[in-house]
Amino acid sequence: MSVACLQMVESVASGVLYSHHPYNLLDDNIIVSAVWGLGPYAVDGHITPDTLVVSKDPESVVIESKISHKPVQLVSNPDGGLMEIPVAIDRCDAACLRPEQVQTLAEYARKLEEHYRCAQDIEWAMDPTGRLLVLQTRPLRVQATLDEASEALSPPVEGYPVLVARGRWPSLAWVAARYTMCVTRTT
Amino acid sequence: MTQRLRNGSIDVESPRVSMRSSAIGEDSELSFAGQYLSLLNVPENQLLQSYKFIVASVYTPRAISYPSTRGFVTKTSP
Repeated sequence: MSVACLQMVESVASGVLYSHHPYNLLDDNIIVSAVWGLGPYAVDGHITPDTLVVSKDPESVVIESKISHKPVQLVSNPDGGLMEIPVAIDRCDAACLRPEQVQTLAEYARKLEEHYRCAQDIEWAMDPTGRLLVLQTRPLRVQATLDEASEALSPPVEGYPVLVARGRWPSLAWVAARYTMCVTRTT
Repeated sequence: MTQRLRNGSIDVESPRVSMRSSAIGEDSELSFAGQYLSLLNVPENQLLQSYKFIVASVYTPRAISYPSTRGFVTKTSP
């Protein structure tokens, strides 16, 4: 275990970028989420983030934009650690990102996915000068659920009925569903 | 160690850092995203204590159970 010590970024807004839908294999759009302040509230469920869906090809077009109510934010405590403060009343229901900033982030997602050659799960932050920074990128585990969309991708093999399907984690059934679609020959 | 940390610290009056785990096996078969502790806005005088907290976060019940609930067995700590 190593512990990375990085210069603290006093984010005015932050969030997560997915370069691909996290569980729908067929959905190749970029997903941008954003909250006011520091990043933990973007991922811990404390605040519903703004969520934007941006098409990847051929040009970044915002397909869907849900701007949520964000009444509180995390900021640095002068004594160390973080503290929650209210968001200014006129910003609670305002979008954290301007359209051109969404475009910049979508471009980051596209470039990172291209560089690493797999879908990316990215943490981003906007510093007080408005600079958009990538804090971290890691491979996005696209968890294919056996919904209608992904069933269309992997149709049953002819002559082999499906015995076990729709496994859900956390369970061994998930492992079974993921690695071995259980089939048996009918003849 | 404190001295080495100081030497690497940024040159401002009151440097603050974000401290994040980077473990063997992170982002391999399992992502481990969010399993270990990250501490933000750590002042210099809390560096070592924060480091210990993060290393110890390998042994939280949540982090220990994470691989096993996903069908993996790990014998080595990250």
